[in-house]
Amino acid sequence: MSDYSHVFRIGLGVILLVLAGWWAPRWWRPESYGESGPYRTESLSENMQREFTFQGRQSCRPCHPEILQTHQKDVHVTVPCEDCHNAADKHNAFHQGTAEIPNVNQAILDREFAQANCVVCHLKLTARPTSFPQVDPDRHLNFHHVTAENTFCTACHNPHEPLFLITSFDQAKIHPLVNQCRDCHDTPPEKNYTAAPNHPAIITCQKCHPNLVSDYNQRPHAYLPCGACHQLKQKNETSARINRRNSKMFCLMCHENPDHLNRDLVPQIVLIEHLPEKAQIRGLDLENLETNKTACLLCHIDTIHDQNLFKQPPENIR
Amino acid sequence: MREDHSHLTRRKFMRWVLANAAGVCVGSLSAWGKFAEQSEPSLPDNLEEYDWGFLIDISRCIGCGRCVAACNQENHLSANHFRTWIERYEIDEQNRVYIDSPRGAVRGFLSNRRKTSVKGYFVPKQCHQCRDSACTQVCPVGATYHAPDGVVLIDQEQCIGCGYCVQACPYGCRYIADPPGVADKCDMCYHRIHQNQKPVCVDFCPTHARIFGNLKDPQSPIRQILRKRHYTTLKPENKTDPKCFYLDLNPEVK
Amino acid sequence: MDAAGYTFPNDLYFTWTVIIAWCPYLISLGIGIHLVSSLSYIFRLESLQPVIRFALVLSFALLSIATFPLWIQLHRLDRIVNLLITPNPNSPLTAFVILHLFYLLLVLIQIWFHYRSDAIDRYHNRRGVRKIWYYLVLLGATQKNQRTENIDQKIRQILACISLPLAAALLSCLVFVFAAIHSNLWWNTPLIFFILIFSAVPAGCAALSFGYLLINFVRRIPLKQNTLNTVNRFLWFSVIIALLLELINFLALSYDYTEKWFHLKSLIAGPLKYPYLIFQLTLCAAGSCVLLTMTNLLRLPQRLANFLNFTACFLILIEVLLAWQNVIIGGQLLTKSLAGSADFLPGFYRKEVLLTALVVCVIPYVILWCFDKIFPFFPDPREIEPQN
Repeated sequence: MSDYSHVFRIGLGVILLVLAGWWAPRWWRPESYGESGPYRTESLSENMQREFTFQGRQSCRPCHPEILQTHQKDVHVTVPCEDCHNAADKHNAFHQGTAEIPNVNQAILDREFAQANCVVCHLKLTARPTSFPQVDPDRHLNFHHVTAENTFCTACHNPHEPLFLITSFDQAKIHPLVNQCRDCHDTPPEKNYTAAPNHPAIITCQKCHPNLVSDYNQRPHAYLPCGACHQLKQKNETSARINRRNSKMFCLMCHENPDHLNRDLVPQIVLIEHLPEKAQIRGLDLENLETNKTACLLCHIDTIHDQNLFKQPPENIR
Repeated sequence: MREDHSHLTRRKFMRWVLANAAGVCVGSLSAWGKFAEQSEPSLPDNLEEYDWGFLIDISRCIGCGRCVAACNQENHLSANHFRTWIERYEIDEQNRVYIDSPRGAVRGFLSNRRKTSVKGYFVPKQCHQCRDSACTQVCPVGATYHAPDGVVLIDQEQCIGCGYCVQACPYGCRYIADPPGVADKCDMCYHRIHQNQKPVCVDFCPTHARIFGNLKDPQSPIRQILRKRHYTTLKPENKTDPKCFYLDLNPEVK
Repeated sequence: MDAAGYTFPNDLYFTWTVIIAWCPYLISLGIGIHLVSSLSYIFRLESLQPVIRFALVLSFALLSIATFPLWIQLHRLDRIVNLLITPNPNSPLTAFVILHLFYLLLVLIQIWFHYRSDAIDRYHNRRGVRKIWYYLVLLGATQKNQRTENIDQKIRQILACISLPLAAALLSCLVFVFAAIHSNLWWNTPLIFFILIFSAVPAGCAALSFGYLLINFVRRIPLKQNTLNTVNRFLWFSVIIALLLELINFLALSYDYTEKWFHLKSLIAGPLKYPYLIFQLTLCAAGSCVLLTMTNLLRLPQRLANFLNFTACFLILIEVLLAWQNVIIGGQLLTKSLAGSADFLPGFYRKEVLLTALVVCVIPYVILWCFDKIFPFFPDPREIEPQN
């Protein structure tokens, strides 16, 4: 035995150990490891193939097309069905017969009409952007003279169609601000609505803007309801900001060859003749009249109502 | 005659052997080929055409928390950990900042933090899918990695739950999910984006505050917004190159 | 854990708690002790010869279980082999694990070369199973002569020289596990790398000195005062350097005067005031520095000097443990939201707790005791002449 034999033996042992440590783990390595980097490529497909919980709005369409159509026409279009109604995976599977749902109650979607569900988005908070419609629920109900306790938001707002932009007043639920008895009642009611228990509040424009309404009633457009020109848009909690449709095209819907009206009742013009004639008579710039979107109001604003009156704060607001 | 016969027999035999050998080779090659096909994972071919990114518009977020609740439900999360959450920042007259996030805002925010606040906003947060992420660098077993389409994923079968990636992430978006005892984080709903669906947080946002898209496509909405608006990222000093961009972000957000 | 201010929702529960800090602590101790034995070969310090065996065995005992705290805190211990099967080459933790295995092998080989001649003697004097056991331990090389002794001496020197860069690499990887994380301001200070590396030297010297004093006190064997004085002198220098590095770190941070300094200042003045400023720096580091200065500069009676050295070593051992605890837990106390700090109270009923850590700590001493029964590292002076 040479004098270095122990050195060789321990050296050989070390080398064998290192080589085993290098090769043995490679033998145990998963197959797809290292193909695209230091990870198992198979886990890419594992991550891709998990089951959905939320099925998406289009999965509601086959059975609920009308609701979906109404929902998609109004401002809650950005709120998916499953946000309020909870995940539809079990519901769809049960009704399509694709899965065995042991408990049929799992197939029924939540319909949360509690105020808490609306308030989670629409509660007035300092941190919320002011352009987003938000209310203090007590003030909001108070303003709309709602006295019944535990009134849900859905007493007035249809969750699928909260703003009634398309549906006319007589087909929508009670409009929060402007309506008349005949919007809902075929015959004039005998009693005042305040005498009827749980009657939704009716607030006419006259209640808050009496001077404006009486001024309007003395001018040529008086036979039209306020809502014909003013489109409701909820901007703050009082729901009182009303936009004016004051463009030329809007005026022409009635005053230039309307299909839906009796033309004898409403003065008719032909705009391409009317503008140059009036420009010449009144000494106005024709190009300005043609490009100005609210050109009608330059001359005819007195036919609507006194513009200064609406700048006064509305009365009778609590 | 006998020799011819045996010569013929030998030739026949050789032909028979070679034919069988050829048949076995061809047969086994095709069998191996099928085996190889079966063992390969079925991935879409065009993953490299995508680089998924996120955009969050602070001026639109109303802090409703529906994204958080939807994420929790879609991914079956436990109550203590959040793949995404919303922070509320309220600032008072003396410029003091108050930050809170009640249970990640899973039930929204039910009242103002302080009566004296004069300004406030909500900041949604989740994994930023960094291009040069710290988490993929430090994982000792290669359990977290960059997918070819830009999403940082976790291999739940390899993770040993050491928590190193949780420490390394500057944005606090990773956690150890216990029971499985492995790391977890937002994976941009990887199972949904490959079925032409959006991540649930984007789907559930009622004000379009969350925008998701392919950063490699110049016509995608996210790229168009990034061209036109001013955007920032969080903690750029860490040089992790995050792909979550914020519009209208204030400096007190970290 | 209460949060004063705001913590990210995922940061409310700490991922790394008390137990994981014991891994770097035990590694520091092991490397520091091993470094003393290596230095005795490199600088040919004859005064350290009597403790070399003890140093090697103690460092092996500590290093062999040093990574146990790390494995205990893993949530999926069943997948631990993934560290070797599918390692990620970019990760400092992988580098640490592999270097640790190499270092352990190196220390084992050094022990083998030190105890070879004793084992050969026993091989020739034993019979039966014990003979086979010693044959296996010696790998069949059972002859010794003057030439093999010279070869062994040379190899011991070569191994000691190799161990120095390997120790530096191992400790660097360990410190990189923390210092490489830029997101944590407490782990990303300018000098944290050097502080933690240079804290291993006093830790090792203190452990060696402490162990030597304790064992000889218990066994009532007279000390080799020369050895002890050399180790204590190393200890004194290294403690001064470690303390200076901590103070320079502060200076660099405060001179920089960036946002990082303000956050760290609130951390140090807040949750870390008692563990770091008062216990670690003032009581343990500065206190042991003062004690060691007294014993090294003043001419004190021998017993008093040994007692003060013993106390100083104990303080340093506590100080290095506190240093690692403060690094790991302090870094998590400073939350990633940078909007407040968290409180931390170590629990008593889960695996990441003090009790488990203490149990883990006992194991190396059990190993040491078992080894001593087979191969005593301090020869009984009544039997054998002390060798220089």
